[in-house]
Amino acid sequence: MKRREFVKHTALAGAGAALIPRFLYSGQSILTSNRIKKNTELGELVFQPTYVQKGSGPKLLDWAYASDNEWNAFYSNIKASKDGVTISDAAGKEKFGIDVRWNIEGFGYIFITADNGGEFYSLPGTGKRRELYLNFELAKSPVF
Amino acid sequence: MKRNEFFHKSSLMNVVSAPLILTDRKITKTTSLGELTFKPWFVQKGRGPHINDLVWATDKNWDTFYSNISRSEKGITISDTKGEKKFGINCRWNVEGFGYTNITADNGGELYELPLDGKEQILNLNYELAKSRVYRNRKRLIHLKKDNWIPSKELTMFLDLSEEYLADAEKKINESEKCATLSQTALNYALWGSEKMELEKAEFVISNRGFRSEFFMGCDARAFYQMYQDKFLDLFSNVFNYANVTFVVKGDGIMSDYQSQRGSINPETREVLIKKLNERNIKCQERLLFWFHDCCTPDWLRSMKYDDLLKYSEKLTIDTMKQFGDSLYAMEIINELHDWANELELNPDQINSLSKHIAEVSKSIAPKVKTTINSCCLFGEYIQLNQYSSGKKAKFKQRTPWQWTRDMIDAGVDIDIVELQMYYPYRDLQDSVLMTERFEVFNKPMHYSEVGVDGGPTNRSVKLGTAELPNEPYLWHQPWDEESQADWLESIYTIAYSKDYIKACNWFDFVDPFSYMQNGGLLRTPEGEPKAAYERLQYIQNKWKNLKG
Repeated sequence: MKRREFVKHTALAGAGAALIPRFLYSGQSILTSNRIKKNTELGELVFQPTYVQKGSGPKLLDWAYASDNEWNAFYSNIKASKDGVTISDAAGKEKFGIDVRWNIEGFGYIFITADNGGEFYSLPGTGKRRELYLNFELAKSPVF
Repeated sequence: MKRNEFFHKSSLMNVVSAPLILTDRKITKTTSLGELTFKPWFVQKGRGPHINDLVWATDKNWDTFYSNISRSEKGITISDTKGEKKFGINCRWNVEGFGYTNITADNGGELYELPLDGKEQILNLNYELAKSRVYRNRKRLIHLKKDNWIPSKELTMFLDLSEEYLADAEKKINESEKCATLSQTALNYALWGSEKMELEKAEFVISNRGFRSEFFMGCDARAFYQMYQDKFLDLFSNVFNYANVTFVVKGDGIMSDYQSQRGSINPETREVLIKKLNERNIKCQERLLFWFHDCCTPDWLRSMKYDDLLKYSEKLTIDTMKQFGDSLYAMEIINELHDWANELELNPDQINSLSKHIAEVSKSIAPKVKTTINSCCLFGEYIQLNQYSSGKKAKFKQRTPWQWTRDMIDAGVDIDIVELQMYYPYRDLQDSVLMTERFEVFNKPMHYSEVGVDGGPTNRSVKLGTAELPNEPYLWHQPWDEESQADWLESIYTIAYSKDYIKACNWFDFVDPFSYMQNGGLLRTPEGEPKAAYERLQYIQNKWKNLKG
């Protein structure tokens, strides 16, 4: 959609919005990508870190991202904190890896991909939660 | 040969042979033989430097001795070992991946011999260093495995790699540069293997034996006068149960000089500190009664005649022990008098007699206070410099700390504790362990009297220009920073804690920027922010406290 067309559409939508019953909005409407996409959220996959490093850290960056099966990063709701890395909405990607900055003493505090030894991860079903050990997943991925 | 006998013989010889006047060098002139050269191959990738100018020889016991060893463009050459038939050579060599560290080449434990007079032999330095370490690791591993300790996979891998690269190097022995490249890789893995086997074994021993409630975690305590006293006492007593209180005659710079004039003591600042520490159940060691180092020897002491020195030392010992005896756990009677800190130019007999006298006097006044002697520079590199601490040429044959300790004990000096300084010694941890183990033969309790390491540049030191940024390859694993300081701290405390005969390990110093080692304190500033090393000390203490035992 071109910019002019886009502005035209939104203006029309704006003008009539107050008169349109709420049900007519369902499943579509107003043009922001979030609303266009269907709900892709599923169950929660958690990567639990164990801080075995000896140094004072930081040991895990509080920011992470997901990458697809071609190692391209994509936007998701992945979050990282000292308690772990969680993801429950992979934007419709069935298979993905996670990328975190992790402190490997003796090597470096670097970004590493965990991709389930090349098999990638999938989200559990809606309402489910699955926990994995971050340290193990990170180690397994480059070894396999 | 005894002193009298020596003078007798030499005066007789003087009659028949005019040039032989008494100096070692002239007597041993004929010990020169053919030349042995260790040619370095600079296969390192970095800018270096890759080898240091100071090189030295060691005997079959690993004691440094003075020789004509030197470094030149040609390599490391030696042709006069002053009569030592078998020897090793020592140099500081840049092992990229490990560190720019002092290493011994000892021909795989067999030691080297000089070629015959007029002959020359050239060896590949890289290969000799690698071979010596790989062979030593083999023997050491067998020794360490005696108590059912099993090396980890990682350690086994390091050792296997070092063996395989050395085997490849041997196959290329006639292609010097290829041999050197392979040897360098072998040496890197061998050094990692050396350290890992010592640490794994130490952790195994600690884990099996359990918590040592009597072990002294110690530190120098002058920071009492460098920061708020209450903060100091809280932070200090959190991690330490043993304190070193310094009593130098001159030059402390923090507490008042202990003697502002000859033999007149100023006890007040020490009394306050010791009282405060004792109130927190921290045991105190006074250090030190006699330290004839250039830094801390006033002119009136430097020029003292020996007979006067005996009288002066007796009075100072009596006065000090009367003043402090009851409040001290130990008294360091002599520091570094292994012919290094010997600005009074005492001969070995005088050193023994003086030390014996001080120990006896100390015991007579305060029999419960343990007497100690303290050594620095355990690897004895200063012997090749042939100098005392001021740079003045040594008047008498210098001894290594081990030889000095042996002589003191043989002379009957009443020592309760043998103290070793273990500031980062430009050596890997295995060398540090092996040197420490040499002192076990004296069957005395031992303290690591002073340990410490550079903490790397800080904002303050960089901005004020008080510390140089690194201008050579890193010494140990990576450039010094707070984390590598903490790593080394953990390693050296682990080694100390694993050895039953080591009863204390004392960090120097507590707070930056006042530390002896560059930014070597455990607190970043007098405000009291803990550095990684402080937290690491807490971590290992908690770990060990939770062990059964």
